[in-house]
Amino acid sequence: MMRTVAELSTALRSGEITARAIAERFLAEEAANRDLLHPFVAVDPERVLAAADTADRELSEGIDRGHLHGIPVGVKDIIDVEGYATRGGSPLTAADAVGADATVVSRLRAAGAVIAGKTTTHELACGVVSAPASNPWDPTRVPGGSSGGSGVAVATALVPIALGSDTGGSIRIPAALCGTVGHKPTYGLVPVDGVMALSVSLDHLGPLGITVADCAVALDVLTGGATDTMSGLDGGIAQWRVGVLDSGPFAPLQDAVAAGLERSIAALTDLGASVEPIVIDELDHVLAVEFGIIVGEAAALHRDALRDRPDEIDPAIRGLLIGGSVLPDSATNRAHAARTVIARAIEAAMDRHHLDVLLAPTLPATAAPKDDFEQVIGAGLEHIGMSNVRTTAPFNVSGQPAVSVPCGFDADGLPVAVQLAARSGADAMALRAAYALERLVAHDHNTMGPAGYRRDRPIGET
Amino acid sequence: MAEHSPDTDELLAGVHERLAALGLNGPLFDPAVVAADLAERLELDRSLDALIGPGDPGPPPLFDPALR
Repeated sequence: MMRTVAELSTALRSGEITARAIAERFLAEEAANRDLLHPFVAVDPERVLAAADTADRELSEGIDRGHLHGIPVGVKDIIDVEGYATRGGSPLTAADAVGADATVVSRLRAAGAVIAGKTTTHELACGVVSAPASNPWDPTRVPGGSSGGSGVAVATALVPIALGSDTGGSIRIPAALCGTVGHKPTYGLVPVDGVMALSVSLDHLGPLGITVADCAVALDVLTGGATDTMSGLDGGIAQWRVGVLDSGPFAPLQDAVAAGLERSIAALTDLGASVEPIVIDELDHVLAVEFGIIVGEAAALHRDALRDRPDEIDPAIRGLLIGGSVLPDSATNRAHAARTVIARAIEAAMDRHHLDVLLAPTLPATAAPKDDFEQVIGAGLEHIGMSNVRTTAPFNVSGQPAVSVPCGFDADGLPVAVQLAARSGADAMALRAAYALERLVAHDHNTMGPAGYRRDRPIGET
Repeated sequence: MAEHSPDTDELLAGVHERLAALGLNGPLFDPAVVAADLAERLELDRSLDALIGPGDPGPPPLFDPALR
């Protein structure tokens, strides 16, 4: 049996398995992998088992809350979960448990999900490493960030779904590097109250999942029923028009990523879509916009901590906060204005070419070794803080939905991925295209997983 | 150091005072390091002239993803 939501959900209703057995297996595997991979920073076995028992009791009484009933879900440790502290990977935060759930967590609970625990985040959700979490495909490498623990938890099938946040790529980066699916929804579609902010104008919440369907079912819960992406998921993409972004910030790429992009183009063509390259010159300025907004907003959020406890902030993040503190307000204003220009340019290009979705590499490279600050991409060396963001930030800036889908491996066996983006509000189209593509290019990711973490390993025994 | 516009030179020269006004004092806030970083950020900001022209457009309205 696979560990996807669909299979677990079916098995729960057939009586093949119980929510308690799933929870017990999760607790055993989380404990066994904690030291090596560190996907979670906090797990409360009593709460997990109590929620699982409630799910079982309700099912036995005929109360069925839907697809997520009895399913364990990880929650990034910047999102409030009642009974757990929200540490955000930072000593600046309070160690006391919070008294209320974030809205997204309330919605998960109402849908019957079992909150499995808090997943590891890069400090203050501001980075792409997420120490001490490790990449399950090669534990000497980073899982990406800032939702790194969520990527690891899903890649190892400890949970089929985990929540992440994405300000410059922080859902899609770990999804790509860990070989999972990751969906950054349309800006504003998923509520962010009860969540530690980084940059309020760019912050998005969304799911990482083993499969596209896992992400779709999660999204429909996270939006409180405002979306119904599941119902049209398998509609196919025949006659769709796909624009490929492979220039500007989407170049250069490592060879394996370029090959994954080509494979994806071929697959989309096989599915009946019309695929053409497009160029959007305004995207050349996307990093100036992304960082122009982030530094100003993050500095404002963390002003007191920077002044009073600067030695408790990672030096790279501290540098960013200082930069944002001395940057004139006009620079942030200009970045916001340029953001609108870029968003409109993407819309205009999609109109001009009559496009349904965009296809782009999620990242230009595979997971870097933990101690490396730079990686070779094409003919040059790039700082991973930039290389990991230049291909993801365009859709934070535009606010469009984007779904990262695994599409192969490099020579070292590390996952590569592409992303599909739709117009703002058309999350269902992005997910539908991703679902179609996944059938053709992500089979090994969906079924096998990293060595030692097969996604069809037994659940019913502990 | 690279040549800057008069506005940029003024900002860089005022880094020490800006840090002090924010209460950012001590060895972690070396004005020379902060000024070098600020120069890079201002250069990035100037590159946006290609999209929006020079000058301050003022505070932004709330971003609307449905821009069409």
